[in-house]
Amino acid sequence: MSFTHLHVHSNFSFLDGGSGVRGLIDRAKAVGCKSLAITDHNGLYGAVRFYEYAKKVGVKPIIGVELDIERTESVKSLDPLAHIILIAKNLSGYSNLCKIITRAQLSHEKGKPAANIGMIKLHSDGLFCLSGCSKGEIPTLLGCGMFDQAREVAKRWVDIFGRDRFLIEMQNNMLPGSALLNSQLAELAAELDLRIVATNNVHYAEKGEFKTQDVLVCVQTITTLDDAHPLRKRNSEYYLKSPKAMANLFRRYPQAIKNTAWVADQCDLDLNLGTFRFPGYSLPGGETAYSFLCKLCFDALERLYQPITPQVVERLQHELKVINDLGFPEYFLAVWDIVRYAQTNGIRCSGRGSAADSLVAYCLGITIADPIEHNLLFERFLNPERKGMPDIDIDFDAARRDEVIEYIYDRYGAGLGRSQNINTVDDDKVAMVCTVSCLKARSSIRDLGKAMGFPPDDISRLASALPHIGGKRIREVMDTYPELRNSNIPIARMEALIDICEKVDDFPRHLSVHLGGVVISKGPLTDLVPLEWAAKGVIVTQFDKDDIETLGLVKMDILGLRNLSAIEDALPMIKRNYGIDLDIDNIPLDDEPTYATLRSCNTVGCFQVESPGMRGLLGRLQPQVFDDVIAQISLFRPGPMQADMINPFIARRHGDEEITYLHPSLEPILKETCGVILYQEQVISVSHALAGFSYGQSDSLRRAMTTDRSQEGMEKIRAMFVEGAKGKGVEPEIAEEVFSKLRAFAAYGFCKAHAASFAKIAFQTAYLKTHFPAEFFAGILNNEPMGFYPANVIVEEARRLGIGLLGVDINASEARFTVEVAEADDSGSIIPSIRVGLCRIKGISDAEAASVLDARSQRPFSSFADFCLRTKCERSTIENLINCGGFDSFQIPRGKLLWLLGESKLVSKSKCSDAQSPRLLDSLNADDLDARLAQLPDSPELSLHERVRMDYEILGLSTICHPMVFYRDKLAKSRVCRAAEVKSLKDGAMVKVAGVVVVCMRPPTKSGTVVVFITLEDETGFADCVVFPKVYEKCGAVIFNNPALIIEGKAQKMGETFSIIATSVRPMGPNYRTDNAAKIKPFKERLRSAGQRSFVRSAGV
Amino acid sequence: MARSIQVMLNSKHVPVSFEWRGRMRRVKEVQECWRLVDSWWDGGGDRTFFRVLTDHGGIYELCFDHNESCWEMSGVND
Repeated sequence: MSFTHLHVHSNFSFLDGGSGVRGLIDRAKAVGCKSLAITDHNGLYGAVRFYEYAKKVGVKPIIGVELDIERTESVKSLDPLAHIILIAKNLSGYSNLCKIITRAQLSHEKGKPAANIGMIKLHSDGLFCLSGCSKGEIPTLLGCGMFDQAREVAKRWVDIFGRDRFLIEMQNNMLPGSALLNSQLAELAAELDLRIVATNNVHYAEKGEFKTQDVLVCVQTITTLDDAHPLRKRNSEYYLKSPKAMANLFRRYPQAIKNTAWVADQCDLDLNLGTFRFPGYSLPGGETAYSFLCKLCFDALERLYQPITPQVVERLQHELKVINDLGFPEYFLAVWDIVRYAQTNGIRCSGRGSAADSLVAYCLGITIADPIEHNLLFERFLNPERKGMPDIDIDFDAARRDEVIEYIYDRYGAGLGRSQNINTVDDDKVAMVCTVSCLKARSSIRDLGKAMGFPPDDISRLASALPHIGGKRIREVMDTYPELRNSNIPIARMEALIDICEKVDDFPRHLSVHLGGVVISKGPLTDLVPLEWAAKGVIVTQFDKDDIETLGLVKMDILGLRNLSAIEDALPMIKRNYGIDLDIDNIPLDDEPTYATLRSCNTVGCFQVESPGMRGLLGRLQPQVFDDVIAQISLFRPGPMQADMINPFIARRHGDEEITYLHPSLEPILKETCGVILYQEQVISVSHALAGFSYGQSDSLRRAMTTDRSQEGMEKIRAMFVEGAKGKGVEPEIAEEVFSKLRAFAAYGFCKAHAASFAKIAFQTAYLKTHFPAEFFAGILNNEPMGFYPANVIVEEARRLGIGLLGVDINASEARFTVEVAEADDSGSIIPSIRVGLCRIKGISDAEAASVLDARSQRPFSSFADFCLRTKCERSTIENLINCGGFDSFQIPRGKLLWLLGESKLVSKSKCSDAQSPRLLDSLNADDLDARLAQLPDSPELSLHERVRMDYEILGLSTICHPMVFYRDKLAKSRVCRAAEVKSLKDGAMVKVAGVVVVCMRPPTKSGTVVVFITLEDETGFADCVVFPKVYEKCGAVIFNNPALIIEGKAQKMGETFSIIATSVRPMGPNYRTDNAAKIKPFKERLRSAGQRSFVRSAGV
Repeated sequence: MARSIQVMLNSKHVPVSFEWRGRMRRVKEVQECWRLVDSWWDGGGDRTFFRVLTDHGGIYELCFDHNESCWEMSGVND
């Protein structure tokens, strides 16, 4: 018996489907269906992966959609929207499907798509149309006894699709009323001579998945299981039934079963996967893409290499030939065009990933690391045997990334992105790529727990405590992590929740905008991809980046990197403060003071090397040259750590272990890493040198080692490798040993090109921190959140380096953080201080900050009253300004200002001349206010602790002091030492430290046991602590539920760094606090002590 | 509350007769069959309903509770 399910929802129906596409296809195959349709709600979200997998397992894929449409026959009592099924018969139908969906999505607000019959009529070619489920227009009219209207509606669809392509859909989900409705549908079909077709409105593959689907619908409708909702299914009959079961349900209508096979036979869709669809680049006259690319590269060669050696020319020619043979010149030109735009407009950018292996990419300015100097291997990026799309990801200054995206829309699009004029949608060639946000452990606990009626507090506590893992691992971590065990939820209910969380692991939840993915096509995008609204008015594809690539479209990652913004922010400050025009892209990569900073591990704020683990590794590796920085970035990764590659590398690097090579042919390849395989490029080179593989074959082997970890697959590769090595005269034992090392490494290795690109930015940031720390930190603070640490940690690091910190001052603060310089004493040293910007104040709007700056540009504020009268700040903003000391320069107690503010009335917006900016105190003049101020009684000054607390509340940081200062006296009495003192301890000494938890994590370990790494911060620096399982088992709840801790343990020295191996962990409560103001030096005194250092002088410039 | 009843089935598990108030009723026609799920999260399960016409002209709704494996009278129009 032949039957095809033509109405099937996958989990890409977002919280309405209980099974993934693979589950549905596997089930269809298992019950004997030769073909299967996918018809998710208002989109083709899962269509590409459905198509690909169905083809792979031998099931014919049919692509369709269940679309919300505006009713053609208005009936007041009925929902204005109805459902209809559209199915692509061929490629033309598929394109029309994309266009109809796009129109339906973009012509309405996000999340409320609706097509109309006009849109469908315009794009009806190549489509089948089914009358729909019980929410279809015809069934609902029949359900209301409106047979005549139902007939008229059917005739309208017949006018569009003809009798061959419009079918009456019948469902029997064993609900009361189904039999009657089906008999009416059959009668209508007979009267109009239309085909009937049976479907089951499938929402999950197996019957047992009903519960999953039911809970998901509750999540979607924001209800709980105890609530009734019309979208919930009333029984569990919506599974993918066998042809036999369907025939049994439709025994009265056998033709409805047969017709499904007829529709399936008629469908013949070929998406031509594997074809590249590159964007077009407008070439200068007389040029081909290849000739123009060659010209650009050879022009750049003269600029970049002096002298140009034959090797460089040969390499460039080789790369260009490979790029041309693979048909990629246009792609490279498009990327070059975008980068050129950024560079000519002063937007900092840098390519990342394996693209930095390419000399062509370097010549085009796409990447910043010289592939010749750093010995980078092109074949890791591209080779003739690699069939995939080249992947070039570029980081741009995050603050200006949108300008680049705008340029792409202007250059390659048709205006849709910017103007949002959907009339041009059918011609547009550019869109942002979506990302499918999926349910993970935390989100599924929150969503499903709420739907299942768990107390919100219990759910929130549990979800927050879970690490970022998939739902399938919840049970495992709850067994492993002690802090998760004490939940208030009864075990049986918890089990039920976790069961469903496991089932929905990785289920799509909603679409959002990919961080930087932009798709650019040659022809209209909607020929292949439906579009829809994402948040903030951005139009996105309905396919994620992987599906976009599967379709052969070009996706570029236009990423925003805040570290680049921080660099860009620092450069003009350096110019302004010291008159130095720093060319950060050409700083000497052998700058010794920068290496000293790296070796000192004081790298907070530096790109990629600031985390506690990275700082620890810096202390051990002690980088001397730029290659060490590249190695550092490659080493501190889960793979190398788990493969235990760090210790051998460091031992060899420091000469503590002999450098040996398994075969002489490996020495030229592994010499740079002391004989240790560290980079993916080395795997390729080793296979090439030892086994005689071509570079393409070597790269395939590398990727196979990464992806195909099966015993059988590995054995096949091993045999090839050993055989190849034999052919080159290598002893089989040696070949076997090299292979086993490659195999152990391949899955974990890092791409050197990527590391080199990142190392360059890391070095630039370390250079800035070394020579211009105040400007560097100000740049970092202006671009928070970024990197590993919040603003308060950055500020404390600046304080420890002797940089002055100046609070908010209404007559001195700019909108952002700035650096003020002052001459210190008679030495002529310049003392920089970071001034907190107005935008740091909680709740202040850009308009308010601008009004302050605008008013101040006319003349400084002379009093509190003057400020209130001349700016457009809200009461809450003024209150925050008072509380964080913004008016302290007037030397009026903050309490008095707050009192005055409390007395004054806010002038209502309606009475205000500028309706958008109500002003305070408009009814008074400055003299009145000053007089009133004088009358107010003196209020006590806030204690120092109170002021620091206020700073944290309003600014998220304090310029006064570190909060641990208030705990130091009592901690000292308890023999708790400062973080800075740990360095002077002997290895193995017992020590107690205390501080604010700035890092607390449980990275994967080689043994699989859970080890917690905690970094505490006090006023002197960081104390890095390690908590092993025995202590963690006892103290897990304390560790993860307290913002400040006291940790006792044994000091362990590793290289130049210390860790504390915890023996006990306890909370540091308020009982340790004293409000001892005498300990805090006034700023002037701090400025004097800071004057002992001169950063400008240390730069030697 | 629904009352438990005795129902005789044919080989396709369709009711052919049932006992109601001490008398056997013969099913002349199964007019409709449907299935609903009770509060599954609260221990409920599938229930299959048969609306049947008896040879005496009465219409009855018989319900099979899959969890309890028992038949109940869900509705009577006689």
